[in-house]
Amino acid sequence: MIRYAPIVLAGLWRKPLRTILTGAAIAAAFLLFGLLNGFKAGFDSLVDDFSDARLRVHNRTSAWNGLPLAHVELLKAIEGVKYVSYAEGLSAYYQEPSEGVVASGIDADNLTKVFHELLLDPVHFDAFRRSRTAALVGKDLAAEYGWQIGDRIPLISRKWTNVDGSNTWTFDIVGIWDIDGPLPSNEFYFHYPYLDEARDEDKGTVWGYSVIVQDPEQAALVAKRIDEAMLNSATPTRTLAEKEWANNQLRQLGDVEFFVNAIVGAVFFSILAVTGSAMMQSMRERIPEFAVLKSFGYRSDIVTLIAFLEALVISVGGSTVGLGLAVFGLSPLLALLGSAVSIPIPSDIFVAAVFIAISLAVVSTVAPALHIHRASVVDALAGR
Amino acid sequence: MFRQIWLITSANLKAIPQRLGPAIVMAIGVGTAVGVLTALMAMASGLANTLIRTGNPDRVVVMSKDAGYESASVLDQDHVLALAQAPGVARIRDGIPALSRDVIANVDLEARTGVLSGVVVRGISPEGFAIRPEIKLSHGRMMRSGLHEMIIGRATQLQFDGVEVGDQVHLDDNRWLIVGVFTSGDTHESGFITDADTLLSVYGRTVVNSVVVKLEHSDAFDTLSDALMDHAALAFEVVRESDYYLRLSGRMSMLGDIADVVGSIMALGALFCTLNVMYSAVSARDVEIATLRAIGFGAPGILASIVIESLLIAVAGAALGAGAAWAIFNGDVATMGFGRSSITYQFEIKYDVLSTALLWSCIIGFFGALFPAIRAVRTPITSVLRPL
Repeated sequence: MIRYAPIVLAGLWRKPLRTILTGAAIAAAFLLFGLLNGFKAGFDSLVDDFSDARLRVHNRTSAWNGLPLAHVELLKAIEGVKYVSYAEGLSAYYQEPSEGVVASGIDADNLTKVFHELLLDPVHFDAFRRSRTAALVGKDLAAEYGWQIGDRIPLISRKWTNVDGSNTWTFDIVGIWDIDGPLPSNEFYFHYPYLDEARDEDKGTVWGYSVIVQDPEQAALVAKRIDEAMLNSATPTRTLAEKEWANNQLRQLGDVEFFVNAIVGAVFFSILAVTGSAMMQSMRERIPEFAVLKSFGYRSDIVTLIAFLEALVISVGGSTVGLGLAVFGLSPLLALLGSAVSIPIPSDIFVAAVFIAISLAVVSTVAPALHIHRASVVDALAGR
Repeated sequence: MFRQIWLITSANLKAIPQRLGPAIVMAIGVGTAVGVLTALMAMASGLANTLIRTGNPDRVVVMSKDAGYESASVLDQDHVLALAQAPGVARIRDGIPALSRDVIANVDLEARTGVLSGVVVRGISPEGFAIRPEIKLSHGRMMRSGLHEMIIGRATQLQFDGVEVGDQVHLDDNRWLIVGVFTSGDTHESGFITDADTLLSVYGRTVVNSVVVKLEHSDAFDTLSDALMDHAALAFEVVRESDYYLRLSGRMSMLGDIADVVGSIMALGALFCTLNVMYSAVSARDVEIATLRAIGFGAPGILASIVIESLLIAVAGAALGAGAAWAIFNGDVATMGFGRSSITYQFEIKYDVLSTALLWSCIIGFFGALFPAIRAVRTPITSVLRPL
């Protein structure tokens, strides 16, 4: 096939502008294909990374309504439950009301058992356990404000007043943690009692519980058991596997999948029609040239192969450029949209793209191929 | 010159049936790009309009200092009293201050799509309806105070099943009856409305989340704001309602940004396709064009005719594309998470969206033909006609 390269290249450069424009149109289409599918796949893979063995327990009426701390004993007693941990948000900001911080009062005894992905120096964790006003800060949050171990940081709560009458809660940073997984690494953890003992309202309540189950296979069953046990209490629960909960959070953005499919479908119908037809037309114009090749003794199928190779070069070239731009453009695009996640484009999209590019080349060569076979050398040379 | 343009253009257009293939292809290219653009704009526009319509500049949302959001805000009786006496507050009949004590509760419901979504239950004072004339009852009746009754926004019914008049909604220990449906054209329609005091008593609370105040007139904002901020004992946060919702809508701009990026790439693709088709079209007619020039038709006339032909095909394609988008998407309902609740909005393909679509198609049609046309009139006539 390599020996046909000069002919193929000559054919491509016959009308350079047309070749470039066709390639550019294909590149634009595959850029969209790559970006949109990358986006979608990113969400899917993000959800997949969430834990199979962890359940999130919230108030059944609304996750924002909170649950009583007293539930913790009931939860621990449920069959299949291994560890239980809880958290209560401070609803706080740092210095300016617009600088919200996700700060939660947590259960120090069980935090690391339930969130085993937490990467924290045990020495710092010990220091945390020993001090009532201690805080552990996620590395992204620490980086954002330049906080370090040893700093004394005041956070202002929008909701709760401290014993001194102000809304300011002061913490001592004793450790900085990272997370191995999709959970956010910009959160701020402190001791629940520090908040609960000082506040007047909502005493003895938590935002929700996180539960680790003995057997991940039984996660759904344990979730059901929890909800059934709490059904008749004053605050019934809704328990979801963490993966399900994460998926739900993302789906609240809107029906991403439908739109990606709709747009990609529309884009593809469009380029197939336009570029396929442009290539077909180009082939048709060159029937006399192909006839010349036939007059040299090239068989029809070789001539068809040459035509196909031309189409293939354009479509594969265009798709490579388009996908290449998508790969480089996806992260900046996501950053522009405010997302800090870095999502690599999964390999099956590249495979799909190659398949589509080849199909495009095939489809646009089919009709001209028939002409090439039927072209009589005499007629063709005469320009008919 | 116009006569020349008219002559050449009409001749070209009459000849289109012979060159239907390329014309259709170009129309498809432009049509698809414009159709997708229209759908995306309809989505962003529907969402933005729903947000913009929420929040009247003549109303003010008062919260506790630095709360930022109504759900994080807590105002007690002292605050409400101070507000009732503050300057700049409008009066309804009998000197009653035009303010509504708003209490926010939340409920998670499973949408038709299967997504668990947060819905806001907003308890308002009876005066709340007077200051929000956009809230209109469309079915059923108003709730009676003291009873666990509420009215539902029309948009909420589009998002969830089992929320018709007569159905009940579980809020913690209590079942609340839906007694009516209201429309307001804004984000409140994606939630429930009930009586503030009833909601307070059910939750055993005495403090409200926010107070929504109607200003005497739009300029009275500063008067009210200054009076409250200078208050000796109490602390407030005072925001014009329109600004409040504008601030909340920050995340919504993401949708508009996505629409812009996708739309631009599609338009670029359509432009390449158009350029391709028009270059081919022009080169197929090179003898014709050279002949016209040889017999005396001026370059402007030829340029214009090519551009006009391209514009007409592009607009025709765009009309089909936008028409298809309208047929498929107009009136469709979509939901987007919005803080602790979600907004259910409709795709709106109206004048503004359609005119932008038309503009895009004209731009694509124009630039898609300009360069080929320029090349056509600059090629030396002799080099085209000589081979004949």
